Amino acid sequence: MQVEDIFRYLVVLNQVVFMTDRRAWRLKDSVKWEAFAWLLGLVLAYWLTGDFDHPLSHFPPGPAFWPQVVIICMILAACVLLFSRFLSQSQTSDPQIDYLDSVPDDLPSVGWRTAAMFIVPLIWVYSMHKAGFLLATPIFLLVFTWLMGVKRWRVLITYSLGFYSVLVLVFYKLIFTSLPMGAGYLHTINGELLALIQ
Amino acid sequence: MEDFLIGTTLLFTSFAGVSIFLGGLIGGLVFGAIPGLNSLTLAAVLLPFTAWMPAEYAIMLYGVIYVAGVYGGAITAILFNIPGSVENAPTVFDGYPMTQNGEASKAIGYAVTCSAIGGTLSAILMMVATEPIADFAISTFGPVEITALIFFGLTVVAGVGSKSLTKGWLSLGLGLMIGTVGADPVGAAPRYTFGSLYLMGGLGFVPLILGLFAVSEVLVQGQRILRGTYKMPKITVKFPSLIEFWRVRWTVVRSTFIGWFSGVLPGVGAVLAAFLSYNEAVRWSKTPEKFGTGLPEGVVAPETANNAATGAAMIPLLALGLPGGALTAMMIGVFNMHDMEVGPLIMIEAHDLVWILFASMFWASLAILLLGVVESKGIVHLLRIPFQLLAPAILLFSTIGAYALRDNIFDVYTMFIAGIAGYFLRRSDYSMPAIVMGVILGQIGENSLAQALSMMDYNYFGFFMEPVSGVLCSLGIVTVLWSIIRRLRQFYSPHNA
Repeated sequence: MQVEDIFRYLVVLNQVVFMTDRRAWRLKDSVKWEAFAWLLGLVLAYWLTGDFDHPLSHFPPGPAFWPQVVIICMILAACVLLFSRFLSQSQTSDPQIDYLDSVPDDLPSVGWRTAAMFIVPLIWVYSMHKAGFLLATPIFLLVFTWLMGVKRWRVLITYSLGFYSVLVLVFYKLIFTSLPMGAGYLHTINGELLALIQ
Repeated sequence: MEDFLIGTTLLFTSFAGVSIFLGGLIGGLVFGAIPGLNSLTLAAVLLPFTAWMPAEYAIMLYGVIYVAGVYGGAITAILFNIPGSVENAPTVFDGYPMTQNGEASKAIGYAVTCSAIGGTLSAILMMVATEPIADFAISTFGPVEITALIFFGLTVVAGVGSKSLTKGWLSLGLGLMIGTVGADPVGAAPRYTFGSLYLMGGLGFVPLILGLFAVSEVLVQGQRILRGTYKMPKITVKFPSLIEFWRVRWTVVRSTFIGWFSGVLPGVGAVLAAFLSYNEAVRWSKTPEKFGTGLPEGVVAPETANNAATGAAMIPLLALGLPGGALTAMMIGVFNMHDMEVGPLIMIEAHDLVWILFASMFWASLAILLLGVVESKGIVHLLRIPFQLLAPAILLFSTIGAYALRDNIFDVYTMFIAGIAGYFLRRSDYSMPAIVMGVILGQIGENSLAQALSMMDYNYFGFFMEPVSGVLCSLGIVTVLWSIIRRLRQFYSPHNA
């Protein structure tokens, strides 16, 4: 390591510790916040090990030993991530360099359809739990296929019902797979439908 | 050779034998390809019926299902980013990127051929040296060595699938932490369970894989469709050429060895074989940074190893009565149902039956090659289905797969939450392969670490006292240091000054 490198490290350390480079803090820097989020999460995870950090008679290091080792290693990695962010800002912005925060993505920002793509499957799982697979799935198929951009109603309905029928045939009729039956009176309806199919 | 011919003759001279062989082969391929409904499901369903079958056909059926099921999961892993079974999980790391690069047919070709090579070589080794190798492996590899082997495997994981080494390490750590959720392997103390009974059993590995790969892929591609930047993968029907196979010869040899050795070790089996083999392919590659972008070696390594493990798993099973996994444990049940005990005497008491099993596994591996060559030319056309229609189907199959495993709705929630988390982690360049490998290797590793520490009287340096573990740990440390030095060199390279 040359004298210049040592000097550069000292400059970066100065930036990190004393925050002299205000510009760095003003930058919309996702990696910096990622590193902080990691550190926060890891400190919380370490704190939670207190719930089970007691030695066992046949294994003195105890059940917290392994998670604590992993968390300490991860804290080191998160510190390196944070440190490298400042290091890379003190360097040139040559796009050829494999910076530690490179995010090669063409993904758009979150819109309502994107948000729906995340939420609809969760609603489906909840309704499947309450209303059963047989009742909840055709609606989900229809909605999700529409969300994915299929606009023609004929295609939408043919595909949803066709695929649903194949699923029911294969999983209920041929291989008798156990799938959610719903709760309460919907459970009874699912049971009767199932008896009809099988 | 004579025994092998007798086994083959007994297998193929009756209509019933051929039918059961083909039924097991196709059943294993189909069940292996459906997420959640792996070959184990088929084996469990068929178990009661084997009581009415002649013993030789019953045990042969299980051998064929085992071999075919391990290969079957590679197809969905390559085409749709959904590993059919856990042992096919590493195949998605490079198999699916190959599909996106328009090389789906080639990826399937590599998977088919290397599965067949791994399975066939393994079957030959199984026939030649069952007893001495079982003795050697089991006496040499205890918890200390397995812990060191897993440490050695983990040291290379961080470099896979992420451009940033730090993020690779964080991804690996996240995987290891996910693996700690639930009852600890020594005292069954609850860890990060927050009083939930569901979490006591740990987060299901299959839902996690399905979420991180299949669900997150649907979300990523779905967003691209909405934005209009989605590109359909190019479809080419090209089987890899002989020259291309020649280029991956060392990966095949190495993976066969790793797979075979892992298969011999009880409790290790095809899953660890596939992951370790992938890691070694990365370690030995001249371009390790390209793994995860669609390198053939990334498909060849796990598919060779997981099939090589199938034949090897028969060695401790037959020679010592030790099952390597759930399916081989079921095989003990089949033997018992026909009033036979597995162990050293089985080679004498049921000589013909054992050779029918060997022959059936050998021929099943070759049959996979024939079926696979035909299949690889046809099945890639599934990619012609518009992703708009494919996406709900992927979510439905994944959901059924996640639920059917334990009949638990929380597994489905886990899958979708893992999928959403995977989506954001992918956007920030975190490594999905490292997370998955962290979970699987961490769970196995913690268990063997606890046993090893207990055996070494809690001397943490004891790993360096034993020859095998000492070498593996030292090599692991060298790997970590080397990867750091390489990144620092890259960072301070002249064009970066």
